[in-house]
Amino acid sequence: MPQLTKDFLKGLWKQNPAFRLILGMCPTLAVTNMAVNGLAMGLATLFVLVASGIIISTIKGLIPSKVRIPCYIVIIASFVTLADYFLAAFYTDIHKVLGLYIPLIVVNCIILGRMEAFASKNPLSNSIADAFGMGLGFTWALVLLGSVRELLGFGTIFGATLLGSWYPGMLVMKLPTGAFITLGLMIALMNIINEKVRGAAQ
Amino acid sequence: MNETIRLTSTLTIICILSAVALSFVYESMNPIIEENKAIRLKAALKEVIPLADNFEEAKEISNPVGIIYIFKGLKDNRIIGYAILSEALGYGGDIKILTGINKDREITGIKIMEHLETPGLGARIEEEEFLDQFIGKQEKIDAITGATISSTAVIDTVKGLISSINVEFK
Repeated sequence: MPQLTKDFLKGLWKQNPAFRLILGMCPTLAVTNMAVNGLAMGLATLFVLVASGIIISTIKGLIPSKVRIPCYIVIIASFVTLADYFLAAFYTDIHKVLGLYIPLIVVNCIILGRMEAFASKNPLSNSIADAFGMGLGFTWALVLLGSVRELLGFGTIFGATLLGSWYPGMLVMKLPTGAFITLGLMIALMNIINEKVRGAAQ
Repeated sequence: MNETIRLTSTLTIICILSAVALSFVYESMNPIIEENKAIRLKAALKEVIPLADNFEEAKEISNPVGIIYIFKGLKDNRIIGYAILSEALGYGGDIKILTGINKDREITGIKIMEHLETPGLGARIEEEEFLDQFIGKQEKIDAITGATISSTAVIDTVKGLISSINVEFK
Protein backbone atom coordinates (compact mmCIF):
# COMPACT_ATOMS: atom_id res chain seq x y z
CA MET A 1 0.00 0.00 0.00
CA PRO A 2 1.44 3.42 -0.86
CA GLN A 3 2.40 5.59 2.11
CA LEU A 4 -0.18 8.24 1.18
CA THR A 5 -3.08 5.75 1.39
CA LYS A 6 -1.70 4.40 4.67
CA ASP A 7 -1.52 7.92 6.13
CA PHE A 8 -5.13 8.47 5.14
CA LEU A 9 -6.56 5.14 6.27
CA LYS A 10 -5.03 4.95 9.73
CA GLY A 11 -7.29 7.69 11.11
CA LEU A 12 -10.42 5.90 9.97
CA TRP A 13 -9.94 2.76 12.06
CA LYS A 14 -6.55 1.76 13.41
CA GLN A 15 -5.85 5.14 15.04
CA ASN A 16 -9.40 6.50 15.13
CA PRO A 17 -9.11 9.64 17.29
CA ALA A 18 -12.31 9.12 19.29
CA PHE A 19 -12.45 5.33 19.59
CA ARG A 20 -8.77 4.25 19.55
CA LEU A 21 -6.71 7.24 20.69
CA ILE A 22 -9.50 8.47 23.00
CA LEU A 23 -8.70 12.08 22.12
CA GLY A 24 -11.06 15.03 21.83
CA MET A 25 -13.40 13.65 24.47
CA CYS A 26 -15.01 16.98 25.33
CA PRO A 27 -16.89 17.41 22.02
CA THR A 28 -17.28 13.63 21.68
CA LEU A 29 -19.24 13.41 24.90
CA ALA A 30 -20.87 16.82 24.90
CA VAL A 31 -22.46 17.27 21.48
CA THR A 32 -23.42 13.74 20.43
CA ASN A 33 -26.99 13.68 21.79
CA MET A 34 -28.18 13.94 18.17
CA ALA A 35 -26.67 12.70 14.91
CA VAL A 36 -26.77 16.09 13.16
CA ASN A 37 -24.81 17.75 15.98
CA GLY A 38 -22.16 15.03 15.76
CA LEU A 39 -21.94 15.52 12.00
CA ALA A 40 -21.56 19.30 12.27
CA MET A 41 -18.93 19.06 14.99
CA GLY A 42 -17.07 16.36 13.03
CA LEU A 43 -17.04 18.40 9.82
CA ALA A 44 -15.96 21.59 11.62
CA THR A 45 -13.08 19.65 13.19
CA LEU A 46 -12.22 18.09 9.82
CA PHE A 47 -12.05 21.53 8.23
CA VAL A 48 -9.78 22.92 10.95
CA LEU A 49 -7.54 19.82 10.79
CA VAL A 50 -7.08 19.99 7.02
CA ALA A 51 -6.66 23.77 6.80
CA SER A 52 -4.20 23.97 9.70
CA GLY A 53 -2.38 20.89 8.39
CA ILE A 54 -1.85 22.54 5.00
CA ILE A 55 -0.51 25.78 6.48
CA ILE A 56 1.68 24.18 9.12
CA SER A 57 3.13 21.56 6.79
CA THR A 58 3.93 24.33 4.27
CA ILE A 59 5.66 26.73 6.67
CA LYS A 60 7.17 24.12 9.01
CA GLY A 61 10.73 25.05 7.97
CA LEU A 62 10.19 28.71 8.92
CA ILE A 63 8.94 28.18 12.47
CA PRO A 64 11.65 27.96 15.15
CA SER A 65 10.93 24.92 17.33
CA LYS A 66 10.90 26.97 20.56
CA VAL A 67 7.80 28.93 19.54
CA ARG A 68 6.14 26.23 17.47
CA ILE A 69 3.28 25.54 19.92
CA PRO A 70 2.07 29.18 20.16
CA CYS A 71 2.42 29.46 16.37
CA TYR A 72 0.32 26.33 15.84
CA ILE A 73 -2.31 27.52 18.31
CA VAL A 74 -2.63 30.91 16.56
CA ILE A 75 -3.07 29.19 13.19
CA ILE A 76 -5.57 26.67 14.58
CA ALA A 77 -7.50 29.40 16.42
CA SER A 78 -7.75 31.43 13.20
CA PHE A 79 -9.38 28.56 11.35
CA VAL A 80 -11.68 27.80 14.26
CA THR A 81 -12.83 31.43 14.27
CA LEU A 82 -13.41 31.18 10.53
CA ALA A 83 -15.51 28.02 11.02
CA ASP A 84 -17.41 29.74 13.83
CA TYR A 85 -18.29 32.77 11.66
CA PHE A 86 -19.20 30.51 8.75
CA LEU A 87 -21.63 28.44 10.81
CA ALA A 88 -23.11 31.56 12.41
CA ALA A 89 -23.69 33.09 9.00
CA PHE A 90 -24.98 30.12 7.02
CA TYR A 91 -26.10 27.43 9.49
CA THR A 92 -27.67 29.48 12.26
CA ASP A 93 -29.62 26.61 13.83
CA ILE A 94 -26.63 24.31 14.13
CA HIS A 95 -24.52 27.20 15.39
CA LYS A 96 -27.09 27.82 18.10
CA VAL A 97 -26.91 24.20 19.29
CA LEU A 98 -23.15 23.75 19.09
CA GLY A 99 -22.57 27.28 20.41
CA LEU A 100 -19.85 27.06 22.99
CA TYR A 101 -18.26 23.90 21.61
CA ILE A 102 -17.10 25.43 18.33
CA PRO A 103 -14.53 27.79 19.92
CA LEU A 104 -13.41 24.84 22.03
CA ILE A 105 -12.13 23.08 18.88
CA VAL A 106 -9.01 25.22 19.43
CA VAL A 107 -8.05 23.10 22.42
CA ASN A 108 -9.11 19.79 20.89
CA CYS A 109 -6.02 17.61 21.41
CA ILE A 110 -6.57 15.81 18.10
CA ILE A 111 -5.70 18.95 16.18
CA LEU A 112 -2.63 20.09 18.09
CA GLY A 113 -1.60 16.42 18.33
CA ARG A 114 -1.71 15.89 14.54
CA MET A 115 0.13 19.18 13.93
CA GLU A 116 2.87 18.30 16.40
CA ALA A 117 3.14 14.60 15.55
CA PHE A 118 2.53 14.68 11.82
CA ALA A 119 2.09 17.92 9.84
CA SER A 120 5.25 19.51 11.29
CA LYS A 121 7.37 16.50 10.26
CA ASN A 122 5.88 15.30 6.95
CA PRO A 123 5.48 16.59 3.40
CA LEU A 124 2.35 18.51 2.42
CA SER A 125 0.56 15.69 0.58
CA ASN A 126 1.01 13.22 3.44
CA SER A 127 -0.14 15.83 5.96
CA ILE A 128 -3.31 16.44 3.97
CA ALA A 129 -3.98 12.68 3.78
CA ASP A 130 -3.39 12.37 7.51
CA ALA A 131 -5.66 15.32 8.34
CA PHE A 132 -8.47 13.99 6.12
CA GLY A 133 -8.19 10.50 7.60
CA MET A 134 -8.21 11.75 11.18
CA GLY A 135 -11.01 14.25 10.49
CA LEU A 136 -13.22 11.68 8.77
CA GLY A 137 -12.43 9.12 11.49
CA PHE A 138 -13.52 11.62 14.13
CA THR A 139 -16.62 12.54 12.10
CA TRP A 140 -17.90 8.99 11.63
CA ALA A 141 -17.29 8.27 15.30
CA LEU A 142 -19.35 11.31 16.34
CA VAL A 143 -22.12 10.55 13.84
CA LEU A 144 -22.34 6.94 15.05
CA LEU A 145 -22.45 8.00 18.71
CA GLY A 146 -25.02 10.68 17.88
CA SER A 147 -27.18 8.25 15.89
CA VAL A 148 -27.22 5.59 18.62
CA ARG A 149 -28.03 8.16 21.30
CA GLU A 150 -30.66 9.90 19.17
CA LEU A 151 -32.32 6.59 18.30
CA LEU A 152 -32.45 5.38 21.89
CA GLY A 153 -33.14 8.79 23.39
CA PHE A 154 -35.65 10.28 20.97
CA GLY A 155 -36.54 7.42 18.59
CA THR A 156 -35.22 9.34 15.59
CA ILE A 157 -32.04 9.50 13.49
CA PHE A 158 -31.16 12.81 11.78
CA GLY A 159 -34.63 13.95 12.81
CA ALA A 160 -36.40 11.15 10.89
CA THR A 161 -38.73 9.16 13.12
CA LEU A 162 -37.74 5.49 13.21
CA LEU A 163 -39.46 4.43 16.39
CA GLY A 164 -43.08 5.53 16.53
CA SER A 165 -44.86 7.54 19.17
CA TRP A 166 -45.15 4.40 21.30
CA TYR A 167 -41.45 4.73 22.08
CA PRO A 168 -41.06 6.64 25.35
CA GLY A 169 -37.39 7.59 24.81
CA MET A 170 -34.53 6.61 27.06
CA LEU A 171 -33.80 9.61 29.23
CA VAL A 172 -30.28 8.50 30.10
CA MET A 173 -29.24 8.60 26.42
CA LYS A 174 -30.13 12.30 26.15
CA LEU A 175 -27.94 13.13 29.14
CA PRO A 176 -24.11 13.13 29.31
CA THR A 177 -24.24 9.74 31.07
CA GLY A 178 -25.55 8.23 27.83
CA ALA A 179 -22.47 9.51 26.01
CA PHE A 180 -20.14 7.68 28.40
CA ILE A 181 -22.16 4.44 28.17
CA THR A 182 -22.38 4.55 24.36
CA LEU A 183 -18.70 5.42 23.98
CA GLY A 184 -17.72 2.52 26.24
CA LEU A 185 -19.88 0.10 24.27
CA MET A 186 -18.47 1.36 20.95
CA ILE A 187 -14.88 0.90 22.12
CA ALA A 188 -15.75 -2.59 23.38
CA LEU A 189 -17.38 -3.43 20.05
CA MET A 190 -14.34 -2.18 18.17
CA ASN A 191 -12.06 -4.31 20.34
CA ILE A 192 -14.19 -7.39 19.64
CA ILE A 193 -14.03 -6.74 15.89
CA ASN A 194 -10.26 -6.24 16.06
CA GLU A 195 -9.87 -9.51 18.01
CA LYS A 196 -11.94 -11.39 15.45
CA VAL A 197 -9.97 -9.92 12.54
CA ARG A 198 -6.69 -10.79 14.24
CA GLY A 199 -7.97 -14.32 14.99
CA ALA A 200 -9.01 -14.81 11.36
CA ALA A 201 -5.64 -13.57 10.11
CA GLN A 202 -3.66 -16.02 12.21
CA MET B 1 19.92 38.09 21.20
CA ASN B 2 19.65 37.14 17.56
CA GLU B 3 17.56 34.11 18.46
CA THR B 4 15.22 36.15 20.64
CA ILE B 5 14.52 38.46 17.72
CA ARG B 6 13.88 35.51 15.42
CA LEU B 7 11.45 33.86 17.88
CA THR B 8 9.57 37.08 18.56
CA SER B 9 9.37 38.17 14.96
CA THR B 10 8.12 34.77 13.74
CA LEU B 11 5.28 34.70 16.25
CA THR B 12 4.49 38.38 15.64
CA ILE B 13 4.30 37.90 11.87
CA ILE B 14 2.00 34.88 12.24
CA CYS B 15 -0.26 36.79 14.63
CA ILE B 16 -0.44 39.81 12.31
CA LEU B 17 -1.23 37.67 9.27
CA SER B 18 -3.90 35.84 11.21
CA ALA B 19 -5.44 39.07 12.47
CA VAL B 20 -5.52 40.58 8.98
CA ALA B 21 -7.07 37.44 7.48
CA LEU B 22 -9.68 37.22 10.22
CA SER B 23 -10.66 40.86 9.93
CA PHE B 24 -11.42 40.27 6.24
CA VAL B 25 -13.50 37.21 7.15
CA TYR B 26 -15.31 39.20 9.83
CA GLU B 27 -16.04 42.05 7.43
CA SER B 28 -17.60 39.69 4.91
CA MET B 29 -19.53 37.45 7.30
CA ASN B 30 -20.74 39.94 9.90
CA PRO B 31 -23.45 41.58 7.74
CA ILE B 32 -24.93 38.12 7.08
CA ILE B 33 -24.80 37.20 10.77
CA GLU B 34 -26.47 40.50 11.75
CA GLU B 35 -29.10 40.04 9.03
CA ASN B 36 -29.87 36.53 10.31
CA LYS B 37 -30.34 37.93 13.79
CA ALA B 38 -32.70 40.63 12.52
CA ILE B 39 -34.74 38.08 10.54
CA ARG B 40 -35.01 35.79 13.55
CA LEU B 41 -36.09 38.67 15.78
CA LYS B 42 -38.70 39.87 13.28
CA ALA B 43 -40.12 36.35 12.95
CA ALA B 44 -40.24 35.95 16.72
CA LEU B 45 -41.97 39.31 17.19
CA LYS B 46 -44.54 38.38 14.57
CA GLU B 47 -45.12 35.12 16.40
CA VAL B 48 -45.84 36.74 19.78
CA ILE B 49 -47.92 39.66 18.45
CA PRO B 50 -49.56 37.98 15.43
CA LEU B 51 -51.86 40.91 14.57
CA ALA B 52 -49.10 43.52 14.32
CA ASP B 53 -47.65 44.41 10.95
CA ASN B 54 -44.75 46.54 12.11
CA PHE B 55 -42.41 46.58 15.09
CA GLU B 56 -40.37 49.29 16.78
CA GLU B 57 -38.10 49.14 19.74
CA ALA B 58 -39.75 50.99 22.65
CA LYS B 59 -36.67 52.91 23.75
CA GLU B 60 -38.73 55.42 25.75
CA ILE B 61 -39.65 52.79 28.33
CA SER B 62 -36.91 52.32 30.90
CA ASN B 63 -36.31 48.62 31.32
CA PRO B 64 -36.93 47.26 34.81
CA VAL B 65 -34.62 44.63 36.26
CA GLY B 66 -34.71 41.34 34.37
CA ILE B 67 -36.01 42.86 31.15
CA ILE B 68 -33.62 43.11 28.23
CA TYR B 69 -35.71 45.01 25.71
CA ILE B 70 -39.27 45.93 24.83
CA PHE B 71 -40.70 46.17 21.34
CA LYS B 72 -43.93 47.89 20.27
CA GLY B 73 -46.21 45.96 17.96
CA LEU B 74 -47.92 48.36 15.59
CA LYS B 75 -50.93 48.01 13.32
CA ASP B 76 -51.88 51.00 11.21
CA ASN B 77 -49.41 52.98 13.34
CA ARG B 78 -51.34 52.27 16.54
CA ILE B 79 -49.78 50.27 19.34
CA ILE B 80 -51.67 47.01 19.68
CA GLY B 81 -49.19 45.11 21.79
CA TYR B 82 -45.82 44.96 23.43
CA ALA B 83 -43.22 42.23 23.11
CA ILE B 84 -40.98 41.98 26.12
CA LEU B 85 -37.76 39.99 26.30
CA SER B 86 -37.15 38.94 29.87
CA GLU B 87 -34.65 36.70 31.54
CA ALA B 88 -35.39 33.77 33.84
CA LEU B 89 -32.88 31.71 35.76
CA GLY B 90 -33.30 28.15 34.58
CA TYR B 91 -31.54 24.93 35.40
CA GLY B 92 -28.66 25.27 32.95
CA GLY B 93 -28.43 29.06 32.73
CA ASP B 94 -30.45 32.06 31.68
CA ILE B 95 -33.65 31.49 29.73
CA LYS B 96 -34.61 34.37 27.46
CA ILE B 97 -38.36 34.62 27.01
CA LEU B 98 -40.17 36.85 24.53
CA THR B 99 -43.70 37.58 25.72
CA GLY B 100 -46.30 39.39 23.67
CA ILE B 101 -49.13 41.17 25.51
CA ASN B 102 -52.17 43.11 24.34
CA LYS B 103 -53.90 46.05 25.98
CA ASP B 104 -55.98 43.79 28.24
CA ARG B 105 -52.68 42.45 29.59
CA GLU B 106 -53.40 39.11 28.03
CA ILE B 107 -50.62 37.10 26.51
CA THR B 108 -50.90 36.92 22.73
CA GLY B 109 -47.85 34.76 22.20
CA ILE B 110 -44.75 33.51 23.92
CA LYS B 111 -41.47 32.21 22.58
CA ILE B 112 -38.25 30.96 24.14
CA MET B 113 -35.43 32.81 22.38
CA GLU B 114 -32.41 31.29 24.10
CA HIS B 115 -31.81 28.68 26.74
CA LEU B 116 -29.21 26.23 27.98
CA GLU B 117 -31.57 23.63 29.43
CA THR B 118 -31.01 19.87 29.19
CA PRO B 119 -32.06 18.44 25.80
CA GLY B 120 -35.15 16.26 26.18
CA LEU B 121 -35.97 17.57 29.66
CA GLY B 122 -35.72 21.29 30.40
CA ALA B 123 -35.50 22.01 26.68
CA ARG B 124 -39.15 21.00 26.43
CA ILE B 125 -40.06 24.53 27.60
CA GLU B 126 -39.77 25.34 23.89
CA GLU B 127 -42.67 23.03 23.02
CA GLU B 128 -46.02 24.48 22.02
CA GLU B 129 -47.88 22.17 24.37
CA PHE B 130 -46.28 24.01 27.28
CA LEU B 131 -46.18 27.53 25.86
CA ASP B 132 -49.75 27.54 24.52
CA GLN B 133 -51.03 27.35 28.10
CA PHE B 134 -49.94 30.96 28.59
CA ILE B 135 -51.99 32.39 25.76
CA GLY B 136 -55.15 34.32 26.62
CA LYS B 137 -56.54 34.31 30.13
CA GLN B 138 -54.40 31.88 32.04
CA GLU B 139 -55.79 30.27 35.14
CA LYS B 140 -53.44 27.46 35.99
CA ILE B 141 -50.31 26.61 34.06
CA ASP B 142 -48.94 23.12 34.45
CA ALA B 143 -45.21 22.65 34.83
CA ILE B 144 -43.50 19.96 32.76
CA THR B 145 -42.89 16.61 34.42
CA GLY B 146 -39.18 16.04 34.79
CA ALA B 147 -38.45 19.68 34.06
CA THR B 148 -39.89 21.39 37.11
CA ILE B 149 -37.07 23.90 37.59
CA SER B 150 -36.98 25.03 33.96
CA SER B 151 -40.74 25.26 33.50
CA THR B 152 -41.41 26.89 36.88
CA ALA B 153 -38.74 29.49 36.09
CA VAL B 154 -40.59 30.38 32.91
CA ILE B 155 -44.01 30.42 34.62
CA ASP B 156 -42.85 32.61 37.53
CA THR B 157 -41.00 35.04 35.30
CA VAL B 158 -43.90 35.49 32.91
CA LYS B 159 -46.44 35.87 35.73
CA GLY B 160 -44.20 38.42 37.45
CA LEU B 161 -43.83 40.26 34.18
CA ILE B 162 -47.56 40.48 33.56
CA SER B 163 -48.31 41.86 37.01
CA SER B 164 -45.42 44.32 37.13
CA ILE B 165 -45.00 45.61 33.60
CA ASN B 166 -46.03 49.21 33.14
CA VAL B 167 -46.74 50.02 29.50
CA GLU B 168 -49.16 52.43 27.91
CA PHE B 169 -51.46 51.96 24.96
CA LYS B 170 -52.48 54.96 22.95
